[in-house]
Amino acid sequence: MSTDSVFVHFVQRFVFWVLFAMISCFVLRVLITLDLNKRVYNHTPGPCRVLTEKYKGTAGLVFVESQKRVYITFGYGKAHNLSTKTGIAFYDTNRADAAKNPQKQYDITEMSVNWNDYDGSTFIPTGIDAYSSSNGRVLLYVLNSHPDHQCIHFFQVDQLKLNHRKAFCDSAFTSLQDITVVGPDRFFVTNLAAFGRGWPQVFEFALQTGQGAVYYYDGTKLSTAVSGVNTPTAIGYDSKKRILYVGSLIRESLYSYKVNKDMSLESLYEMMLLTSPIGMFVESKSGDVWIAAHPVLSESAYHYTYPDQKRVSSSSQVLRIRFQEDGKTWVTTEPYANDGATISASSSIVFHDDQMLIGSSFGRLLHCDLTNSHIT
Amino acid sequence: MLLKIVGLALLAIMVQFGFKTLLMFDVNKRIYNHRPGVCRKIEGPVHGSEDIIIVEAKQIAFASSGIVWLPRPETPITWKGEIFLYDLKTRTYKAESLPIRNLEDVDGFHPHGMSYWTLPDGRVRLFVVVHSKSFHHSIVLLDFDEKRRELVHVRTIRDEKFVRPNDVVATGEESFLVSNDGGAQTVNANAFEAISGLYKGGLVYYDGELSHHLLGDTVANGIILSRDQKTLFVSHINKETIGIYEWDQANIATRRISEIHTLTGCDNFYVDESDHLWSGCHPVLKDAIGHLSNPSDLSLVAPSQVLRFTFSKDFQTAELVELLADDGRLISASTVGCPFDGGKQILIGTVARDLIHCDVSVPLDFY
Repeated sequence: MSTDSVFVHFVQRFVFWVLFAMISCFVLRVLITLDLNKRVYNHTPGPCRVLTEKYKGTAGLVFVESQKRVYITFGYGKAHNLSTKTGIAFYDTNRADAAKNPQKQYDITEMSVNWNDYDGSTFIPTGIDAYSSSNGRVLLYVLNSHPDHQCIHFFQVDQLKLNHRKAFCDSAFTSLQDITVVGPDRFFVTNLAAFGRGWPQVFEFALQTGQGAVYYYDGTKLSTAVSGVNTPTAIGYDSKKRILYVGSLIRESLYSYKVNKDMSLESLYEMMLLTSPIGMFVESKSGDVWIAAHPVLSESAYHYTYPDQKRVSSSSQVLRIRFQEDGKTWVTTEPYANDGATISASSSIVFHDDQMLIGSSFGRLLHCDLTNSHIT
Repeated sequence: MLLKIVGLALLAIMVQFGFKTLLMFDVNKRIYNHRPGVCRKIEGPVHGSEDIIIVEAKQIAFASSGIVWLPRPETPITWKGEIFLYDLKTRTYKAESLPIRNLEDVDGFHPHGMSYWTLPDGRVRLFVVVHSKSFHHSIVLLDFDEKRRELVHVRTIRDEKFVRPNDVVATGEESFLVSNDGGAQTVNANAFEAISGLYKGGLVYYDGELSHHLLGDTVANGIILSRDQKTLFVSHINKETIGIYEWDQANIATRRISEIHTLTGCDNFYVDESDHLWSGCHPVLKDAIGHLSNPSDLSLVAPSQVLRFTFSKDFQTAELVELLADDGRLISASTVGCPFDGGKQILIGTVARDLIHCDVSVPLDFY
């Protein structure tokens, strides 16, 4: 046996074992990510009721303080080939209005859209945020999750109508997820993955290549705020502290960034949630971060693959993260959790005046009262 | 070539075993806090409230405190075993330690699981699993003297089949079911038993004179009978399941009905007046192990969880409601949850820490 063949043999064995270790680690990591040994245990923070079963998906929620309204996007299921109506509605959170008209307390009102010559037939709204100017004007920014028309749509609220102002599209948008507004026509958006759908996206998730991104739009120009983020989903902004929060679906964590004056982002810390965040709401008063999450990722993957089958449901979870005075430590509480029987695959959350609205990707919109919101 | 295949197969088995062990220790789990209402620590028990008995007829509760479980030679046992009495009618948030008369081994009294039986004259008889400081086991019968507010020792029962008793269910004046949560008597042996899967615990029935094996080669933690005494619930904490069995006392026989997967380590049980099963659970096993390795170290805490199970009529499925979850700062390593006052209040016990009294102001039926 020559030294060459000994060396070749050694290299072969070395390569084999390295590959074995890598493949083993990969498989184990995928299995851990799928949350196979997890489940949720049902509980509510107070009495709950379903607001609507009409729409397949209430994937985006935003609360407008000046109007005491929650704006709701519906019809996300259309992006997954469900035949469902799409649009935007609102819910009035004002309890005084509810006292006047108890019969309509839990009604939501659909808004008509004036498209101003834009073709709205491909509009599948998902993530949404709002900006209230000092003169009372309310602007809505809505992500279109249509696979072939990934755009950001600008609307202005006119009582019960929406006026379309413009649409911003870019080739970088492959899977828009969520949006958070930092000023008039200025916002951050999350792009989940380099591939928009199908098996390429699945492989990207499995390999955890971290090809997602956070983009910043300054009113005229799009720039990359953070690149190489692992599956960014929920995004929220605390304007008092100037902190941007970005959730990671696969990593099951929350990144926080300091927003500098020039709108560049400085990484602060990563909070391990051990649940996959999808939607976010930042309380302006307290700075608490509310998260709508998919706690069992294997269930969610199955549910997103077969969204029209009632039996294939996914767990829902709402977390509330309270930051302590130092801004560096926090307490996590879980106001709501459900195994999917009541609400499946929670995707958005809003809290106001001891009320909570939970939206879902393909199903119902839930309204809950919080009996003890100070400890929930 | 054959050797290579065998080697690879063994390697795959080892990787799979390692993975299963990691999942068993719940390395990818955590707890998110929530409470059903305002909670308070009850003054009195500080070193455990491992099991709770609610005597509805008298509106009182008993809690066992000062457990010794798989003691380590290097950790001194500085606490004493006690049984506390708590008045459910008032909100004093104070529990009273009951003196025990005629106990033969006062220093070796460390109570664990408990059950009770009402005697014909109305007296309450407690059945208590007791470990000594050197981890010897017995079942102690104590009668509650209401006037003197003390417990009177009636009988101590030792049996070779009480291998490592955990919980007990009274079935008569001197008969009971007792669960063994393993066979190992030391920490290291228990670790081997848990990891290897060669469990030596089980279920034993004592008829007043003789003991009978019912289940073997498993782990039985909390046990309880349904209110009609026909259905037995057994916590197989090692598998994170609850076993449901028919119990035939006349023929001293069990028949397995179903097994409910909980994905959390449920400990002791309570059955309420609506036939819901309540349990305190350990959702993250690695933290529970850390906490129980040195219960006196207050910096070691374990997450807690209180669940309510509602079974289908045939006991094949269960709906789960989570009443409370805590990361350990308020309640560390919960073992049992006992609702009272029509479900508006609940007592929560822990392995080696406080007894907690909570109000319940959230709905539990919401489907």
